[in-house]
Amino acid sequence: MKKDLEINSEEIDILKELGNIGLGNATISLSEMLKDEKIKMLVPDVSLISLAEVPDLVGGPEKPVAAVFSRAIGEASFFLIFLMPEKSALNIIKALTEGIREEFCSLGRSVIREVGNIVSASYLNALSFLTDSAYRQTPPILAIDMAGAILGTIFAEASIIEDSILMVKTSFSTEVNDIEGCLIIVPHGEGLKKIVDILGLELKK
Amino acid sequence: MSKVLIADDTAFMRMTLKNILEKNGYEVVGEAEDGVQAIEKYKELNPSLVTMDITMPNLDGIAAIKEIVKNDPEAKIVVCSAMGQKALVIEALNAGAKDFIVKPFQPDRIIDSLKKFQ
Repeated sequence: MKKDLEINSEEIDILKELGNIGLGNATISLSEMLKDEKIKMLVPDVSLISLAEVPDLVGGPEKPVAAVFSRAIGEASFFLIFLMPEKSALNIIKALTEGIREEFCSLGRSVIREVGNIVSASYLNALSFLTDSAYRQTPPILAIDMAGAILGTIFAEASIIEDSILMVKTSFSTEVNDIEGCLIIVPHGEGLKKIVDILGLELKK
Repeated sequence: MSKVLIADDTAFMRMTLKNILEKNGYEVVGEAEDGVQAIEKYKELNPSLVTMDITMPNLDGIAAIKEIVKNDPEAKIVVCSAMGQKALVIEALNAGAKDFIVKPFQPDRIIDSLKKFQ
């Protein structure tokens, strides 16, 4: 574990609240897309874990998932990963195409990419409002594969070389359309410190 | 009938916008998947209205708006993006966009906006 990644309980609370408000905003967007279906959100989980353990947070390395990945660039830099089980992704495609598509065809993949884009952007909109600073987002990339393979590729693409990463995971679920998933925020380097600093708090050295 | 160019990198969003527009009497004359295509298609098709996403590969929507407005100061461009941050809205309007719609949106919001520029 790297010393500069150490985090105290106050900072964990800040990140939890950011996860809460950010995904709260994102689930409003998702709910509007799903014709106002109620979306249940869990308390955000802030963890400092080894890269190898990350797939376990989403059901294990062999779980088939759909992931939409992008990078946020602003006062702080971090990665946004919108992840859901394959079954939930298929249910979203079915719901948003009104039953016309139920597979990962090119239109189906485009649906998931756009949902991931809107959810990630909604998170950034909330963060921008809270910190009074602007964030840009790279065009999201969609991958459908086993969780371990996808996360490994994302961490390689993101050039994450640390053994451990600090991440904020917020999970949600719906009943009518049977959809569950999560948004994972992986701060990049100084990203976390800057977010906490912007909110006027000193990060423990 | 107003001719519209849709610029969005997601096929699903282009299809959704096209359905909304065509149901309301607009003619979608072209679709662009990034900012570069948006500039090229604007020159080629001379649409009366453009819907423009911001986060797109190769060239983002704000850079595309600046280039289109530079060549045609009368261009009527409405931004349609999930990035609803105040600073980005101001940047897009300063670049020459006429309106800014945050995704997800209701079909009426799109039509109400476009009607203002006919």
